Amino acid sequence: MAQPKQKIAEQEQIDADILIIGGGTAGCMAAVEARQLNPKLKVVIMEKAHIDRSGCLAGGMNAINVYLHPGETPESFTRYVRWQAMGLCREDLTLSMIKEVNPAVKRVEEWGLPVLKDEKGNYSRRGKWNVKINGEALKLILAEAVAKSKTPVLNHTVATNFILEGNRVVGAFGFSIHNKKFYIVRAKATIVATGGTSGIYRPNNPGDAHHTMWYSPFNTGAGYAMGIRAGAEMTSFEMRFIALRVKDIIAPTGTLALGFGAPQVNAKGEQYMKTRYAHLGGEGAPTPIRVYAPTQEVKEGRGPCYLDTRHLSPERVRELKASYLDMYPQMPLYLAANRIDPSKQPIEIAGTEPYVVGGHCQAGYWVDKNRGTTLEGLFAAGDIAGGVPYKFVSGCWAEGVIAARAAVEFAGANKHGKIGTTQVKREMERVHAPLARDKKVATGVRPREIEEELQKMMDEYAGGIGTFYEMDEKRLLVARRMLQKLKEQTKHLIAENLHELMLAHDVIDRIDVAQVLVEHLIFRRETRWPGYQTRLDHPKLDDDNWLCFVNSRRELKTGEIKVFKVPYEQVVPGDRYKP
Amino acid sequence: MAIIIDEKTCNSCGLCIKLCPGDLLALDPNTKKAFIWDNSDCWNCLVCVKHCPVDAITLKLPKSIAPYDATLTPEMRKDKIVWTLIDADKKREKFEIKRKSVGGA
Ligand SMILES: Cc1cc2nc3c(=O)[nH]c(=O)nc-3n(C[C@H](O)[C@H](O)[C@H](O)COP(=O)(O)OP(=O)(O)OC[C@H]3O[C@@H](n4cnc5c(N)ncnc54)[C@H](O)[C@@H]3O)c2cc1C
Ligand code: SF4
Ligand code: SF4
Repeated sequence: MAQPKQKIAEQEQIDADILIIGGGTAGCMAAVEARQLNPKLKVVIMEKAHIDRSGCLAGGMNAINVYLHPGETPESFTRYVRWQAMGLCREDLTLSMIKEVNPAVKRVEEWGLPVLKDEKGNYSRRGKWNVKINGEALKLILAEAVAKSKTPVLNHTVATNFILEGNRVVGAFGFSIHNKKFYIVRAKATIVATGGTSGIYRPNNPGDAHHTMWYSPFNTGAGYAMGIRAGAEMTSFEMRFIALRVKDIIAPTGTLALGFGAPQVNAKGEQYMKTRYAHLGGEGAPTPIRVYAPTQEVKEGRGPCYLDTRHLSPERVRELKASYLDMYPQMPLYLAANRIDPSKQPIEIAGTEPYVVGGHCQAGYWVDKNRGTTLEGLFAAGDIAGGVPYKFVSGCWAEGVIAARAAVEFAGANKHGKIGTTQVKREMERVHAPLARDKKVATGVRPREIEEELQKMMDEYAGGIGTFYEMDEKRLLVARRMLQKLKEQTKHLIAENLHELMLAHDVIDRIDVAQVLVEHLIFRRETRWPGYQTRLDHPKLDDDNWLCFVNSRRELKTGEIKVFKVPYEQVVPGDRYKP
Repeated sequence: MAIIIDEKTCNSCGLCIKLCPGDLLALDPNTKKAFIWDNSDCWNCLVCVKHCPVDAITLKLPKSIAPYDATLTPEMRKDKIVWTLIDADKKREKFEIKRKSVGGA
């Protein structure tokens, strides 16, 4: 399609008390909470897409995956999460999060979310911690609450970097792909909530289907990359998230396994979770094991693997499809087009590309109990924040609430920072560069070319799908070298229009995230999370040396990534390897 | 293939362009019709299909994932969404699911 030449036409400065970057699950809740706590504060959201349908919730949700049902306690939840995470998580953060979950769910129900209830009026359970909902419009509901709170939203505005004054974040830069503006948003406090990162590894599907993936392909790690570039401390990137999904369409399997009681079977019909993995909990084993096991089955020649749905009646199959329509509507279309009848045929499963996602694993900003990062004035919430590997929608809301409280306090106690003009000029040039470059020179590379190179290399040398997620130090060192070279190539990135400029920055951000990820993978010399982090050269779990967090910080001056251990603290007593 | 926009039906309202979570759509300055920058970037989320007021958009899953023989059509009504799923053998299923309508959408 021939398009007129595009460029960023003008600059606009906006002053806010609190800036929220990413108007998704966590960001929306943070905005509402901040405005409620202090209606005098000006809160502004910067959102890459449009807040009505952006982020993971775009297509809807059919369950709230974290809720404290009667009989459970914050401690029982924390024990469960710790066991899921192979004995290592930030228990302090898990406890503080879970205490805010139920009120947050109540709030969203009051905003109009249909929550399913049993005869007694209690929330309908799906599994131990879940609540069934009709969440097709969940994102619209959150956006409406934001609108009612009178929080202005800069939609279609891609955040690119924090504005720094020494070690303090005093706002952020972003550009609008619709109105061609470069924004300088000055804020007393900033909350980053841009979600996790997909698209670092070669995805399950090629070419035309490369975005037929589970996690939002539009969450490209901007918030992580911005923090990395600003020298924020990050944690646990090596705990990658590899999801067990329906093969090809990459639909969530929780609906099938938890909602419809489908066990895993291999090609011989063996229920291998119940036999080979009985000692780890069988079908109810920790999530990494549930994806490690079928991967091993395939590797050892017993694949393909399936979720066995053949016990379902036609009515239950209908319910199953309805359930997906609320959350992943492409799944029933996939079944219909491929003539798959789950009551007659089991559903094939596969592991996904590895994602960096703090809400399912614990990769993210190293935060204190208020979700304050190591940069002054910057708070993190949701999939971007580290330490709590079991957040899902409701945990992200809870963190939005906690971060908002701290940000309100910080904004009340601090004045606006100063923004140096050279910083503005430098960022404007950096952001604009792919548009400004000559499109016809031979060295010019398009974002998609760099993306594919990154994904291929990560797949082959840093434990992607192609190598059954396994890795060793020698190959990781190759990945490190290749990433450095790839990063140098970004100086040739070209973009034809503002849409492609966004893609260019997406891939620049992904490389920054990948570099930190690889350093973390090199550093942890044990196998803590089989599948998520399988070290062939260090195949055992090693509590003596590695019961600790792996953290990192990129030096501002040299660009060197420093990686180090941080002690783990057990808060909730009990056997760490039992739920 | 991911989405198909019927240019004859599109009334240029811009809703799909506004709401796509990946900013994948734009209005062609000459024809004033919506188009997708790169079909392979589509997430198959159906947001544009749900919101198009004149049903100009159809979702087809990529060919490597599924044959093109089935269709899924959402219709957003007040307080519910009605889905019509037609499978490869032309068998039709309808689903009505509760939802909260927000600001007319
Ligand atoms: C398909 C799918 C189904 C799921 N189903 C369930 C379920 O049923 N139950 C459940 O509990 N959990 C579910 N989850 C998990 C849950 O949705 C996520 O953990 C949660 O929504 C993450 O919230 P978040 O705020 O961190 O990220 P998001 O909600 O994704 O928000 C991130 C926001 O940041 C924006 N953004 C990104 N980059 C930039 C940038 N550079 N500048 C400005 N803005 C930016 C994005 O557009 C987005 O709006 C599901 C996830 C997926 C992907
Ligand atoms: S289906 Fe979703 S990702 Fe694809 S074009 Fe429509 S709104 Fe965008
Ligand atoms: S929503 Fe439909 S009518 Fe409106 S611009 Fe998009 S395709 Fe055209």
